Amino acid sequence: MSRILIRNARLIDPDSGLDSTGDIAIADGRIVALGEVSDFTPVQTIEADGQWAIPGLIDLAARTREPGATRKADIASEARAAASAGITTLVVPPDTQPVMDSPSVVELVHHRAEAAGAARVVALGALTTGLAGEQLPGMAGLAAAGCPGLSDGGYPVADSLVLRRALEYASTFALPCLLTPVDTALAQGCLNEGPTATRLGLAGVPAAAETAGLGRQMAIASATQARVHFGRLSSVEGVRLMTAALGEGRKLSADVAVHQLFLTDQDAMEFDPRFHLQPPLRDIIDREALRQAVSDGVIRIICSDHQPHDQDAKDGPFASTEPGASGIDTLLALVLRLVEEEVLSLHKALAAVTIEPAKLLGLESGRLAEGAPADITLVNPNAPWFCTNESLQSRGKNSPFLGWEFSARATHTLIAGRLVHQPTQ
Amino acid sequence: MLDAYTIRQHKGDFEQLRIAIVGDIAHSRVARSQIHAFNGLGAGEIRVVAPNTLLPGDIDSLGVQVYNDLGAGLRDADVVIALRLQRERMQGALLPGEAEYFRHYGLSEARLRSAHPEAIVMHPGPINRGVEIDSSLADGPRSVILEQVTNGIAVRMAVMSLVLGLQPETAREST
Repeated sequence: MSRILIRNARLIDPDSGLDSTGDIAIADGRIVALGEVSDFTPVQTIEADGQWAIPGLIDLAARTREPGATRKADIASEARAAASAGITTLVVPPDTQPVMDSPSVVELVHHRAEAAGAARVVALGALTTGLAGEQLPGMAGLAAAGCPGLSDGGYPVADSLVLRRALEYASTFALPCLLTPVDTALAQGCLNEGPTATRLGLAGVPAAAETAGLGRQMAIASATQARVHFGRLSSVEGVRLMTAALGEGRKLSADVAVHQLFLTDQDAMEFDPRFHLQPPLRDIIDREALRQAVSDGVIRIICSDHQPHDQDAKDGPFASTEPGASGIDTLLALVLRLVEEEVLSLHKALAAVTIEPAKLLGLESGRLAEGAPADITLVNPNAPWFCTNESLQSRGKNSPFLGWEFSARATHTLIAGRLVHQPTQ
Repeated sequence: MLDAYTIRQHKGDFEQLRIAIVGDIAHSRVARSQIHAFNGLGAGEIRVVAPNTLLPGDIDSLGVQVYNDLGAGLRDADVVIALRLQRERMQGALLPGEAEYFRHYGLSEARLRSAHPEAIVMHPGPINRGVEIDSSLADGPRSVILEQVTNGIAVRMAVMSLVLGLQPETAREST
């Protein structure tokens, strides 16, 4: 295993609060020294003057579409795209085909990711067999196969008794459960229910679709000892429920898709299917509440909610296209833009994509520390670039940020001490 | 009562005993009776070991230690009691299946290594072999399951004769 020295970078670690110029010595896949490094003979040295060294990003919700929909994307393509965008771990929900409800599917995903040799891929096991909401999968077996947690994969468990038992059984093995706070019956639409949807003649999704789902799941979670996390909050009402629950000392957490912090239903005014998302884009009041919630720590994790699509899936009238946005290419740039827009401090912004998801899932990575896995991203904070069809490394070209200009980009990505992305000479 | 009697035959005083009850506590009248009886007899420590789906709420209020992990729950135990697992528990989203249950909560010689070397193994019967207990353990030297059956007859006879109003002496005469 190669020995790498990163020299003279601005070392930023949200876990320890570190922010100073120094070196990082890497050997055998791990960080062996940090700060003032002496007595280290590297095989390769990366001069990083003016660059930031941050923990590699952990994206809590990213679909690779494999197995099942490899016409859209695959593990190798998305793992490479992630690495080139500074993401070192993709956490993939179990909504593959077949569903990740047995060790064999999980092992397949992990093997394909290893073969790709880019970003790590961490599979979340299915909370119920086939995500059908009826039977429990062998959760201990899923954990043994490498699942650090379980998820409903966007299909909320409708039967409250089954949900309760799934959470109880998962808590037996200390597996965190990532739930989708949606009442599916109320969520039949494609844009926030409000003036914009009405003007466009599109079916609206009320905030109640989120609060009804969230409230029910919170109530059931309180009857168990499970560690419950809510994925993709989208509304001011959802934020209020979450704030109240945290105020009562409940051990819950939530995340938001990064696009919800930048876009609103107004962006869909031209019926562009790239803005057909689930949960849908909402009002500017919701967007501001979500930004405030991240700033206040009510929402601690930001993810891309990456959903790459083939062109056919997004080719049609707005409402009949498939929801979802391609997001891994822009996650880092958008998170740093929140810092530029003074929504978040640099440490808080980075924590939301590194140490916070790591803590939720009990991952070793997400930090710059001696002994930690050498999952490191070097960022050039002054390297302006335009997001275009050509710049997107993901096979999914359905980014809602095409045409946006960003100031920061990942120049080098190291995963387990291996340089998997670097500038092309 | 028959279980308490069997334990007393083998282990004597309850005060020093660590007793682990493993399995479907939630649906078991056996487990509840045992917990009350053993606490009444002053047992040193009573443990229940099960996945959370098979543990009733606030079970610790009955005076037991709760364990999810079988290895930890069996550590230094003097008495290990396996409970019968009804097959219909697999249907109601309480458990994924028998294979995973046996892997994590099934008793076997290997799993019993963390228990006291002289530990006895009990089961209220009838046994689901290979689900809650391995056959080699159920039929092995640590098992007192057949003695439970024998003692069960004697204890039931004693209870019935007391209920019929016979004094111990007259009961003896009448047989």
